[in-house]
Amino acid sequence: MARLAGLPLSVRLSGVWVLAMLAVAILADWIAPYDYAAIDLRNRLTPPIWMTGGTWLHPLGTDDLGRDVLSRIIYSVRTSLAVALLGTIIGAALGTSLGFLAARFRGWVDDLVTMAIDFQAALPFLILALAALAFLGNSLVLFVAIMGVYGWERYARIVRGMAFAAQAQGYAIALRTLGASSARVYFAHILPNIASAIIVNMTLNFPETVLLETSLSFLGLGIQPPMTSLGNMVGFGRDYLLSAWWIAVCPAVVIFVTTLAFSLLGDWLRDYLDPALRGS
Amino acid sequence: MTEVGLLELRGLRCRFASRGIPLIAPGTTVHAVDGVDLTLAPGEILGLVGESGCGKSTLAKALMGLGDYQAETMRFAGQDIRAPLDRRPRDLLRRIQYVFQDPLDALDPRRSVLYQVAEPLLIHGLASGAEREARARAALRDVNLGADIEVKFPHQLSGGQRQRVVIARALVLAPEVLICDEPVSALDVSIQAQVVNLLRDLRDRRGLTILFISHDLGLVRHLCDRVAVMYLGRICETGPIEPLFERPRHPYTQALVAAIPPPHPRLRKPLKRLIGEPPRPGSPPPGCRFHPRCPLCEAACRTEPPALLPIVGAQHDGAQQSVACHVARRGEALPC
Amino acid sequence: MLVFALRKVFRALLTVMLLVTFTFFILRLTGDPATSMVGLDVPPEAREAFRVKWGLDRPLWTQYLIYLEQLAQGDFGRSFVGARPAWDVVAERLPKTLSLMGATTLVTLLIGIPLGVIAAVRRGTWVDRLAIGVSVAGLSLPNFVVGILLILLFGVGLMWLPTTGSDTAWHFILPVVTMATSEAAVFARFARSAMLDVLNQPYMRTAAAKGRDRASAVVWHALPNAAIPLVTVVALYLGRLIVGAVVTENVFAWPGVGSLLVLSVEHRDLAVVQTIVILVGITMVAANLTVDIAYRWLDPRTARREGAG
Repeated sequence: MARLAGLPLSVRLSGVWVLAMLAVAILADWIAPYDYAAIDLRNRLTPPIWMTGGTWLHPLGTDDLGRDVLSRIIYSVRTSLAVALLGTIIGAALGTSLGFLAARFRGWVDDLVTMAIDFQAALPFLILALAALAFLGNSLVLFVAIMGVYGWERYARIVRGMAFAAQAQGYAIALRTLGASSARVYFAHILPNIASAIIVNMTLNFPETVLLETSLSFLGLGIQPPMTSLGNMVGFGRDYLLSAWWIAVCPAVVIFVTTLAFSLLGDWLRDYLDPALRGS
Repeated sequence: MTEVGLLELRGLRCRFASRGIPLIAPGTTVHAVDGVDLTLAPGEILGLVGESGCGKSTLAKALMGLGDYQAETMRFAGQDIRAPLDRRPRDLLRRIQYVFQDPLDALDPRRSVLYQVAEPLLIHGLASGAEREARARAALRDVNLGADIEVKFPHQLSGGQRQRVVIARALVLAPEVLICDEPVSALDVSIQAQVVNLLRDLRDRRGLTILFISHDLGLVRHLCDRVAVMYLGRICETGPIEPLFERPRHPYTQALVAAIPPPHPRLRKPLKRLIGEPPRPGSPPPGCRFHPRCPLCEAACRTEPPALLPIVGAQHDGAQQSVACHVARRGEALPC
Repeated sequence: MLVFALRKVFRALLTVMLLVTFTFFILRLTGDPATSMVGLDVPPEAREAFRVKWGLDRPLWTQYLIYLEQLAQGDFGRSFVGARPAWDVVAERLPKTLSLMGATTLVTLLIGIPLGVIAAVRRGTWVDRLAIGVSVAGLSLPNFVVGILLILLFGVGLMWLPTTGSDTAWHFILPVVTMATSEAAVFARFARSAMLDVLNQPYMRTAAAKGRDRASAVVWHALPNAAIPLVTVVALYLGRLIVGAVVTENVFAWPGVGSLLVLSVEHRDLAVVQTIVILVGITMVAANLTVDIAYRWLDPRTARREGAG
């Protein structure tokens, strides 16, 4: 714990916020005052508590159907974080596996993976995501899969390079002479040795995935009603900017603070865990 | 004499291909090992000596199925083992074990000693759970390591301890052959003796067959039963330890033996020095590979590579001394 | 240099081919292209005509070649929403998007580079910390959040600026500020680190030792050298700009290609989506290619480094 004492204030605050958001996501069912879909037609477009007409029944006000904004934000945090977390894990697994494949089989497999990495890196991912949604139609499974594909090339590039170096090391060759399978060499030995680089990349990838998810949901092409996400709350709320700004602004602020906190933590973690990656 | 060895090697060639630039510089092929025959009898410790770069490590790796090699014969207990590592039967990977030069490099920095010593049993599915750990502990005891190091990581051990962990990891599979590639050259002299004595003890107690690769003739003389001297990809002399060290025939062996520091300074003889630079393996000289540095060099040596042939009368307890040298052969009564 | 350029051009063409092949197969995967490309509401004869024209009755390999041929002739299929060639639908909206991007680029450079340079020159001071803070915040703010907040403040609250459409110069202000916020953050970050690298070079220290006026040394010596690594940011920037335009155009109902893309995805107007994806792909590949070659040309050190390695 002594090591934490020297942390910059911004990193400490970010940590607190991230922990709070994780708690909110996990405990959503217990802490949300209402169900996110509960409609209260007598209290439509109620303003937040600090404005005239606000009520403690709905601390952050209600939307056009009288749904509690606070409860919707709590469930949206759960959706957005869960989708981003799932996406980040899928991306890390996908990129790591492909990086290992390239290093293990070399030759045309490596060429193919490298080409796919360049291809992926050359195109803005949002455009590809939109194309996939247009061609394949929207479904939650596809959407999560798209979040998973996002950023795979960065894992693949890092893992490929590190695996090439690691497999030439004595311990990897020793394991092969002992009869270990490739899966054992790569996943039980090389993976733990390069895990810190992967974890750093995950913390940097996570807030970007949150941004992608919220952006697509904001455009109406991500999480679909009746499910709620921070992005689609802002998307629906923008129609009420004139009359009920809080519907859009409250989730927007949560998005901003959350991605900012994750970025600050990720930057710090990168410098802390892996000085060699700095500046790249 | 046609003794059937546990490990038999005929006509081994190992290539190193340097990739050139297309259309500008063609790639070149270098034979780091160029036609080597070796036989290891069961329970024997064979020393393989030579300067660094002579191909002895490459030879050892080829025996493990690593690298780019071809051989007329490569047999283990009568079974053809020419296949590369990835295509060898699993049982073979258990029966022949390899001990690396640098034990720190050969161990995974992020796994505990006990895990790494037990892992070969897991890989080969030889024991489960508690049984596995018990056998790993026994292997560690066999190499004289205490229980306190089980939970440690490689970087927390001394060099000698690490090398003994590597040996324990090989022993846990109860192999028949141990190929030790300069196992002690990274260690302090005092610790070298411990490891060497351990190897001899293992042979005496378990009948382990060992190929001991080293550039240190003193160690080889202390440990081995037989020795093969390698120069630039070829064997130039081979024979039982004592006779060979007493009476080396090949000028290269003579120079090596003369260079061993004597146990006592008063016994020091004038040093027969090797003249000239060790040639680059990239462009081996024609004829006898040693001829540019050889004090006895003759015309035939420059053109005609000498064969490794037995020396008549130089037979000791069933082991034959052989030499590959035109000049030395003339001095002896040789069958040819 | 020539070998390098040719290799890069070859790679670029390969990437474009990969993209086109990708769209071809994914379109074929999604069911009957005749239905999805033309739409259900056209008469069966028209669908049949489309099928024959695109060779959909022939083997996949032949279809692929026909597809390539059509693309090469600039035929991207028909938009069933617009009932016109997809390319026309995209092309008529292109100027709006390009003008938005152009204006954003101007503002980004005018804010981002001075911010980064000043932060580097005043390294470690409160100016530097402020610049870093602003750029981290700018990077974490999604465009749609900035846009919504700007609309709320200047459109709804103060009623100073128009928030939808693109009719007058006033309409440019909010979308451009929205996009430039995050882009300037990227530029400030890169400009700062590029400038710091240059300021630590021996020749800059020599200039300082000679007692040259610091400001003129920075402007005449440091800036041109710092500009070279900034070239590499261009492709990255363009990618971000395109993504930013898609989102921002939707926030401000800007009638550009970005809103068209989202609209077409909603309606599954695949011909239009395909046109935009290929257009973006070619743009990005061309940008990357230009950057690679320009960087090599501007900074001969990279050539030596690659030659050595």
